[in-house]
Amino acid sequence: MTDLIMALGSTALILMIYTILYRENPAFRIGEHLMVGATVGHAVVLAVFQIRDLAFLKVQQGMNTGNLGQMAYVVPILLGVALYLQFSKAYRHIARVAIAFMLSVGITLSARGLISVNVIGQIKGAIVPLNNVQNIVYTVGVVCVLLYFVYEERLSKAVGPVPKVGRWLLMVTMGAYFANSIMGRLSIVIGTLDTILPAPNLYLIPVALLILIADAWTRSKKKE
Amino acid sequence: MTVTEMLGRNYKEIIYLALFASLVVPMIRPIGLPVPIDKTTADIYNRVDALQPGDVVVLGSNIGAAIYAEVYPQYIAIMEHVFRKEGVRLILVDHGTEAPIFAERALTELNAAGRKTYGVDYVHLGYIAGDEAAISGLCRDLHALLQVDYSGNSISSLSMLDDINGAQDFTIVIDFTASADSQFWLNQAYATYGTAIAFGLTAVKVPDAYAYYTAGQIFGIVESLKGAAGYEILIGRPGIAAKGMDAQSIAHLLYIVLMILGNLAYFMGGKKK
Amino acid sequence: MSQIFKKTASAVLLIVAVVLTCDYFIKDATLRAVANDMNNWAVVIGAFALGLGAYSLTVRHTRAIYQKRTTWPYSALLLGTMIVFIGLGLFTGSVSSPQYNWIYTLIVQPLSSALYGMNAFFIASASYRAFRARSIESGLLLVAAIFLMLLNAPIGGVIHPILPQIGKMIWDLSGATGMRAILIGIGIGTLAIGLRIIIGQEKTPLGGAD
Repeated sequence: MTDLIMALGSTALILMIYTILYRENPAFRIGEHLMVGATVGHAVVLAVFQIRDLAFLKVQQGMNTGNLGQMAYVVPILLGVALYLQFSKAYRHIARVAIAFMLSVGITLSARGLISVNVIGQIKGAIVPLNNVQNIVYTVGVVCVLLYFVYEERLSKAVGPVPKVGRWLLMVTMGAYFANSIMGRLSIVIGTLDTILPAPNLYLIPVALLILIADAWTRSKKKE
Repeated sequence: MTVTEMLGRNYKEIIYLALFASLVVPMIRPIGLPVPIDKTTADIYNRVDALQPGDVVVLGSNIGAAIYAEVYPQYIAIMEHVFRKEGVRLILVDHGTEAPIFAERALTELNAAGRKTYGVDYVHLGYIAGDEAAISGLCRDLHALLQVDYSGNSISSLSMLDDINGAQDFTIVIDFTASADSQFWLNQAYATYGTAIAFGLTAVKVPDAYAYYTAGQIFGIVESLKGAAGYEILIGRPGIAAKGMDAQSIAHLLYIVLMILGNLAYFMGGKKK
Repeated sequence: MSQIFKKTASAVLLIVAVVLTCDYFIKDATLRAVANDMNNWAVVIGAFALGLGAYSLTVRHTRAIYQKRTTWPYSALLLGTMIVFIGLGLFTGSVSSPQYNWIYTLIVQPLSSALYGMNAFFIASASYRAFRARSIESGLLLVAAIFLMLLNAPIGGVIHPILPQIGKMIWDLSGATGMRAILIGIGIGTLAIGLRIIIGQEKTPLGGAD
């Protein structure tokens, strides 16, 4: 029984979302609000378990063993609570300390890695022996695109048509992103179809179509 | 009505139905088009196949319901491959809020017969909040970061983790995501400890990752459903990914036809629109 | 009082950045322990941050229900669903409990997939109505996209083996040039913004200029 509710329920919810392709309607809004509520509720559940496992357990263990380092986890707990003060006009400034801490850790950790991975690593990857046409094209190409980022159209007289070539190469790259985004979206739709195509889920599709046709017919009658 | 006028009309509903049909028909009646296996996928397969007893594999995951159809088939195929390797230790770590559910689902599906022992062969550390700080903490000293695993077992009670402290002890890391999390593993594990990294990505993220692959910073990429289908074929376990490639093909053809027709309408209509 | 906290926030920004940067270059056990703790503290604060969205959403939708706006039934549905998920998750003690897993698979999985997947239909319609080769650049984008789609889909190789080969050439070209330059740009740009925030030049992330 629960399997049947799961199968038909999932299919109904998928079809409710796809009704947006017809027009904005209450079924789509219901599905949308259900999803937001569920996702946020899920995040709260995980937040509670995380705070318990990463902080409170450590403080508790610290108190039992007398370990100051673990007891000091009271500080991030207080800072975490302080985050919520950003919603208060009177105490918003207190939240800044917590935000500053998180921001600083995040920026420093990513900056350290980005220098060696994105900058040095990619420049190393771009430096190849110029002993064949392909390597020459790739090296010249990456220089052209970087020059486009720096100069755009402004100083094109100084560097000639080079930034324009960079722009063309960037358009080819955008074509790659576009083609891949199509493949990605299609993969997701195939996943939803894998849910709604097996019987008995399949029988909800003609029901949904009939409802849409009836709605379209009613609306066209009202217009007349 | 002229051809130009006909092509210039709005066929939104017909396009939607055509796309629906181009996906549904091949799924009901498969064509059986051959699925090419990308080098990026084969590189991951070869690397996993070459693992030795005692090696540590970390599967990072930010799989959510939205990208489930694209990335979960990759995740489960690679996990199955790792499970087939005797003596290889598997660590599952989640950096997305929905990922623990899919990690447990994969474990239930693949380890139903109990061929692997929890705490000895594999461990699920669960979700760790904090994005890059979480991955950084894990790579530095996972015993200092975590007290318990996903099921609430004390980390110190899991014998598998006795000699695993951080990224210096990971043999390979394969991250499954659709967002910037893949960058975090590169920044923290690869840049600092030189850990070998590979990605299982949605199609949208693949172009970024390909530059890392050609620079030798990652050893492979499983590219969306296509890569998952290739991996399933390599391990001899065809699943949903392989089934969906026919539908992908026909739908892609439809997109190309629509683009060409749309541009025909534009050029034939005197470039007015 | 607020000035003290603003100055403290700026000091925290700088001190944490200096400690973590020094830890990267200087191998010292004490420094490493402090850096580890700072890292793990940020993880704990990140866990608290997960609930910020819930708080904000609850306030907004409760207001909508209280003021009986036209969308109040949807707000009630949203809050009700949120409460059900929170209650069930905390009551069962795990997001992998059979009951939680069931309701998650019933509600979140199909809705999330469908919401992301419906873009495929919009892109199809846009491909016909809006994707025009009005200039050399858009023409290049169009041609590159077509060949790459024939590379991505197995049918490209079935129609003619040359098609995915051309697609692969375009893919390799874009990877070695455009994507590489974008990554270098991201690296330099993130560093620049990060430095500006840490030295206090950029105050927006902390809630605006003093």
